[in-house]
Amino acid sequence: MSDRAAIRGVVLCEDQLTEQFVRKLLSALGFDTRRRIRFARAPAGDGSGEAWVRQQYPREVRELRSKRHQRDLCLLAIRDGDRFGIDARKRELDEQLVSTELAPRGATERIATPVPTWSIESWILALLGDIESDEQRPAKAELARRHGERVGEAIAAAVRAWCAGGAASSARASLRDGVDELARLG
Amino acid sequence: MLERIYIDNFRCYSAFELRLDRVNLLLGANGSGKSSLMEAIATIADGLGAGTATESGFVPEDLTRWDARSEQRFELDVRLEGVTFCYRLRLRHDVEGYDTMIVEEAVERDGRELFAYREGQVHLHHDDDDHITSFPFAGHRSYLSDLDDRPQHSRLAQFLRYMRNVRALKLMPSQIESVTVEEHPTLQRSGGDFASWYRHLAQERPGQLHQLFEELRRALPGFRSLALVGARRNGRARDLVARFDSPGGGEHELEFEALSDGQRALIVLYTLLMDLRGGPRLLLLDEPECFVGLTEIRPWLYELEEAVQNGGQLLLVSQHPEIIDVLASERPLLFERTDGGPVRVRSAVFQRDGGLQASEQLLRGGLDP
Repeated sequence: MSDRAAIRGVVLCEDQLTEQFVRKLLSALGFDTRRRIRFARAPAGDGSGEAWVRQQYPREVRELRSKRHQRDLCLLAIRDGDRFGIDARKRELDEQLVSTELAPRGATERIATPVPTWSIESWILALLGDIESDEQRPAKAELARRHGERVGEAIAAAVRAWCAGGAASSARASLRDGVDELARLG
Repeated sequence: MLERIYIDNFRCYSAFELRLDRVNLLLGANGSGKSSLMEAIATIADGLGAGTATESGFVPEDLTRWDARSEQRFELDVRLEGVTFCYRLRLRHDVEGYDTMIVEEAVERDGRELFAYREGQVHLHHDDDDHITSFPFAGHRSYLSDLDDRPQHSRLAQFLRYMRNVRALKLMPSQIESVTVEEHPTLQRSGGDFASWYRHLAQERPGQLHQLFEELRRALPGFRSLALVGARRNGRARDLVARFDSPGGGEHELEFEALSDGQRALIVLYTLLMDLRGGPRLLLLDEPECFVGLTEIRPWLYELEEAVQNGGQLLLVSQHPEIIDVLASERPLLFERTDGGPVRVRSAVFQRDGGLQASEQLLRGGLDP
């Protein structure tokens, strides 16, 4: 494992909640989220946050590849799986690269594309043990219902659970896949 | 949470109504009324807290210039613990005599009157609803600023506590002085009395200073701590100093006035976070990122977002891409005026399919009518 604190990177997120979760998770995993990791999130408006991340993705991949000589660069693009799931979401990102005349993500590239399924709320609730492992059920409203204004504390507890092995040993395929994806960053 | 505001005949606001969310980013061109909205709320809060005399809070110059009426109206709907408080204020300005009087002021709780001032009389309802105290009062300031936390007025006191806890900041770091002679429980809008406010916080919440200094050490290279030192001129005077690492080891002190504008701004902004974490409140921030280094805006903003999550509320004016691109994911409000007329506000609807950042869309005219 490289010195994670030295890694520079960009994180593309659909919304504030996802960004907050990823920022805390990367920080807990040793990344310098204050100085070296740049976060970008979709604005409110027409269209989906997922589409915004997908549109940004080729630009950031091109940027990353243009600096191939610089080690310790990474990119993370995180999109909810919704009803489509992990494989379809990853395939969409590869197709987005191909459509802009870029090669699909290589096996050793420091590019992570985790897919919280159904959504980031499902991940947080699952890590807290609040919901079952069924990934086919939306849980967007459930997080606010259970934790209300204490969402920040819920996120912090979920990150602790991830770091304690809760994601790697989860019954949720998207969480286990998320661990593998983040390992690509270094 | 402040849910609604109504303003009539104040600067560029005519019969203006706005509903608010937890996080509100105020966007718009210069002169579109963003700061005036903050000013209206902050001045109302001042009148209920510090007891600002009406003529020094709202002044005749604040009347809408194209409106011949001399009366102004303000309304706030505030939802606290499941009940809605409605505050109404009607002022009359005497432009020639440069005088301003309260014509009517009222606070209702879920539609039931708790307090009213009209025709020179205060009507104060006790919590039991049966008992009303009435007496004459001159309307040069709000009687509510005199009202302390009495058990028989606990419902009214709940609303007043909320309003007195509103924090408004339009930071002018160069106006912050090092010397403090007494504690100030609130911070001036310019931040000018920061030393006195810090003195109050250090006295009231010494346990939170450790986290504040930790955060400032990450934001300001070499920073160690803040301290109130010395006793110049009289026994109560103190100097606020910042302690930094010295190049050869050890530490040295700098009076607050000797810090750069950016350093002063960062210290005030992180202290504001400490205050916000101590109790949920409404925060009115007018271009807080001014003077702050580019790489330090986001780390502070992320902390602010998290502090507000816990029951707080934020109205923030900014023209800076670093702020816009973060807070545009919440509820951006676009302030506009046509031909110098009254303010109109619409939700800023960005396009997400194009993959452009919010600030870039603004610059490219993506939100133009």
